[in-house]
Amino acid sequence: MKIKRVVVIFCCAFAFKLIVSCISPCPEKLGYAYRHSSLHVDGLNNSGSEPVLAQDNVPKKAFGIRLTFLLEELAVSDDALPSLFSVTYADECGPDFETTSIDTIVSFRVYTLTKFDATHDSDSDVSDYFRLRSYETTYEPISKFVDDSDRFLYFNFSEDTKVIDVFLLTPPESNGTYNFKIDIEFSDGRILSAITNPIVLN
Amino acid sequence: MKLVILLIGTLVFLQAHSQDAMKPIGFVLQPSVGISIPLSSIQNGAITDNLISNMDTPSFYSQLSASYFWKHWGLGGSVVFNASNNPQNFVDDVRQYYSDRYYVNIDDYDHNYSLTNPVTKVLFGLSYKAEKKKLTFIYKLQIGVNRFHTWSNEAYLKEKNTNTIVTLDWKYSQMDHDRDFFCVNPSASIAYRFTNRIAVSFDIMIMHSIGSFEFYEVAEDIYTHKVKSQTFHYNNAITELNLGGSLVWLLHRNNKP
Repeated sequence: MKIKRVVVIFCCAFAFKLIVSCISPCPEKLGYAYRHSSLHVDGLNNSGSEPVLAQDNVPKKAFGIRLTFLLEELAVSDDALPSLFSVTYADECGPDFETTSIDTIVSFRVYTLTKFDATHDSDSDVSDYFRLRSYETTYEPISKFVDDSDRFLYFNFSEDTKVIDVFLLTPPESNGTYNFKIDIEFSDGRILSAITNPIVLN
Repeated sequence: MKLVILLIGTLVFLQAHSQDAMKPIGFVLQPSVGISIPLSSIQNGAITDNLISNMDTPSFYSQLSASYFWKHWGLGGSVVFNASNNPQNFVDDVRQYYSDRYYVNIDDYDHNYSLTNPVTKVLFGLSYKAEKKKLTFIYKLQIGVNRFHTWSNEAYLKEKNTNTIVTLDWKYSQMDHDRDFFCVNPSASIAYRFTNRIAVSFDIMIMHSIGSFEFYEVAEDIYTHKVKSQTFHYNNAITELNLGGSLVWLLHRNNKP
């Protein structure tokens, strides 16, 4: 009789632990926050199948600019609560890490520092001549660029840079040496600027 | 080699034990294999030719046909499977056609595709047989459908030395990608009977299929959004000469096998 009670109690305890393990909520994600700390730009040569960093000369119809943002990690939050039971996380819990940006790009401008064509002298805004390539088969105007950094979810925070390529779709009328200035304004009011090295477009 | 000797030995044995007086044939079941030689094909030299599963080069076929005879005349049906064109040929064509000017991005197909998706013909019609000792001549005139497949595809082309990107779409004119052509099939077989129930035959048949459809090609520059489209018309008759052999199973009227 005593053995029977022991078995019943043991089974109840086991069932309770099993249920608690299975219905435990997903653990709190490790939250990483970052911001865009600096900007570096390079000329791109898109003559081949994929763009590469440009040297001195680039075909003017294949020119592009690569924007490389250095991401600065600000804080890590770990709100996980201790539990007496081991948990199985039977639910869909998603990634263990969630990485979000505290600043997003709100304005994106490209200026030519040399006379570009008859209507664009030096220091003119030539943003409309550049396009962002998205989904490989779409060119979006820079003015329509929507920064979704604040919605990025990463499984781990292995990358500390973010890269955006823009391509020159309206080349200058004449060959020559050109360089461009990029102004990026963020949601927190900061503006990051960078200038490409002079590149001969021919 | 051993297999051939065994087969010949079996046939000689069967012939030696066959009855001298052959019974009249009532039912013929005829599985056959052979080669299908296109005399005219639906392909017309357009780049979309290899988006059609019907082949324009010699290919293997397999067939199962059955006929029931009253005296000389009978009714029958056939199912014919032809090896299919592989759409990877289209992918190779696109890469070759545009590679001088563009970097071509297009998905590859499974190389075993043609084995798993044959061109199918289903036929019904009249049969006529004439028996002369151990030789049996079977003539058929059947009609039916020649069902083959067409594929859609897309590619994007990155122009060399520029930022220009062009998307290409090849679309079939109808939603249903299976296309049925009306098919007429006259055929003749000469069968040599080793026994009352088993014969081998040589088969010759013509498959003539008619129908039409179109393919559309749409090219779009993703920056300027300039669109260039063209239509490829396919209205050629498909004519094939099939040469093959059968192992024929014979049943006799008023007689169980």
